[in-house]
Amino acid sequence: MQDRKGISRRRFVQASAGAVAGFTIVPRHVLGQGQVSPSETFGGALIGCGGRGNGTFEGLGPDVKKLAICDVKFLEHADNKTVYTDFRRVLERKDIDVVAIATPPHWHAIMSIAAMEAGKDVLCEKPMTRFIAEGRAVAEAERRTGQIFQIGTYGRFSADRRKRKIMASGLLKDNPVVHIQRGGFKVREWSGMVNPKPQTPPKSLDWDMYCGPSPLRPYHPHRFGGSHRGYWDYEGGGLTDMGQHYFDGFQYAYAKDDTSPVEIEPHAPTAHPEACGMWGWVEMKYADGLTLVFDSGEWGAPYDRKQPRDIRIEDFDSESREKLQSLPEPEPLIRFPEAIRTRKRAGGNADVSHRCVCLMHLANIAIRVGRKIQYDPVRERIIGDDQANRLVNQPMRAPWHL
Amino acid sequence: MNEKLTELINRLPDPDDRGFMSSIDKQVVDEVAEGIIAGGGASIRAVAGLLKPPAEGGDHKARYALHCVAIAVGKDRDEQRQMVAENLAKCIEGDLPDSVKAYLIQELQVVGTSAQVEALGKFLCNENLCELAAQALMAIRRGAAAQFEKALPGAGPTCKLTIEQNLQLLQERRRRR
Repeated sequence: MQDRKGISRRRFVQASAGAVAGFTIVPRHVLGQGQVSPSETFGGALIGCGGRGNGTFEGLGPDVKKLAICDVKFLEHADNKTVYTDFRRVLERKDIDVVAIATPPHWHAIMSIAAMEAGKDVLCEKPMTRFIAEGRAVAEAERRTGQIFQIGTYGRFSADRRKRKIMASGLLKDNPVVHIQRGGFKVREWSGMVNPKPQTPPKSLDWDMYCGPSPLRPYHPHRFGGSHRGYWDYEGGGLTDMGQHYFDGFQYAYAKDDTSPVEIEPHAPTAHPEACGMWGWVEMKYADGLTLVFDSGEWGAPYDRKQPRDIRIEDFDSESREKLQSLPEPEPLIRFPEAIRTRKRAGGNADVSHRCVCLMHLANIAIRVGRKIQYDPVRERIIGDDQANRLVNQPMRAPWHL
Repeated sequence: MNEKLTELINRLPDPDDRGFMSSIDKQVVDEVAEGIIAGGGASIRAVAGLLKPPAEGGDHKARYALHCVAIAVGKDRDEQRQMVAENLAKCIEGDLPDSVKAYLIQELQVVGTSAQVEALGKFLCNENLCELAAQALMAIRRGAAAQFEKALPGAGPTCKLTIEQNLQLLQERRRRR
């Protein structure tokens, strides 16, 4: 048998696929970390077993067998064999190759980084993170470990590839596009309570672990179980929750996967410090002129500064139009099940998913400080507003940190 | 607290039947914040005096009012920002329940500057408040390390972990720079 050293993982998989037909199932961990078993089976774990849990796990693909589930609400029946409350115990298992993370977002970055450092591939529910610096840390971990990371939304996989080809060409100097998303942000639905009276947590719930890196607040059921979306401690309202769905495809089609808006202006009342609440619209401008607008339609007057405007062929001069004809098609995007088999980078990897969720984080920062902010997409810092900048990289409760 | 200030704060929205601030007028909110700022330190302290422990509740307007003030002075209003932050710092040094101080410390995380690090540093050995004080110091950053170093020898197990972690994070950031 040929020495595997020096052979890329993908080539090894391709070479062995035919040769091993008819072999009995060999779990991946038997072959050691980084190897793919002939039968292509993967041990999987689901971390966060709420509403989205099973759906997220299904995204791992048909070759992943669920070996463990983990949730802070399993205190009364955790056996630390198949049912866990502490994700760190799950990540210690050598037979787990991939994890689906479907906890509230304040845990996504820490768990994703820990999982990748433990040699696991990660499918992480959206929104990817709670604040901007978390996303950069996840992207660095993805690069450092070489593991697969995919966000649990797939807008880019059905996005307009022709538009992507044109927008990524660099032939358009001043971008006249105005993209307006009207409604669908569930602003009122996923608001937080401003007057919650503390209650005693259920016996089955490890409330301290639930709060994790976020401040340890008094328990209230509205902070848990789906309605967590309405609190800055865990997410960022309906905007963050829905936005990654809407703008994953937008970022891809308009070739904005490696940048962020430079100017963000909100129309909203000052936000509550703990509870997400009402906002009207947010206008964001990219450095090339593209305007992206979130119009909630749930508060105040609707956005009326600009009309929607897509890219047109006449936006290009004749020389550029000719060049457009000969551009290569964009690379196909790899879905998670294929990525873990081929070790090709997933289409919704950490870098692009981070840039996507940054849209919602920037909009929320502008809403929270109630003023226009300027953003440096390279340094990933807000310019000239230290109060707003404090929301870019928020401190975490020990022992948790990035 | 004077009648005018009470009237001002009462203009802020009541939560709806689900506890959400779904009916909110930006102009009113801005006017309330500016009214409190115009009242100076005495107004800040008076609003802070309305805060109650979360179990008692009923203080959501005062809480929101203080936050709106902290945000309003957050950019290009240095003098007023110092006034707000100084008075919040005075309040946390006073005789208030820890659960009320927790909220004020959280607001110092929003509006505080290096002038408040010493006031915050005093809570680094308080088991109930060290985490929030540490987070406020980390947000302010400038002058934080000295407070962590000063508090470390006297800290109990919970606070010690918090202090050591944040000191390490600050050192790491310094190294990266």
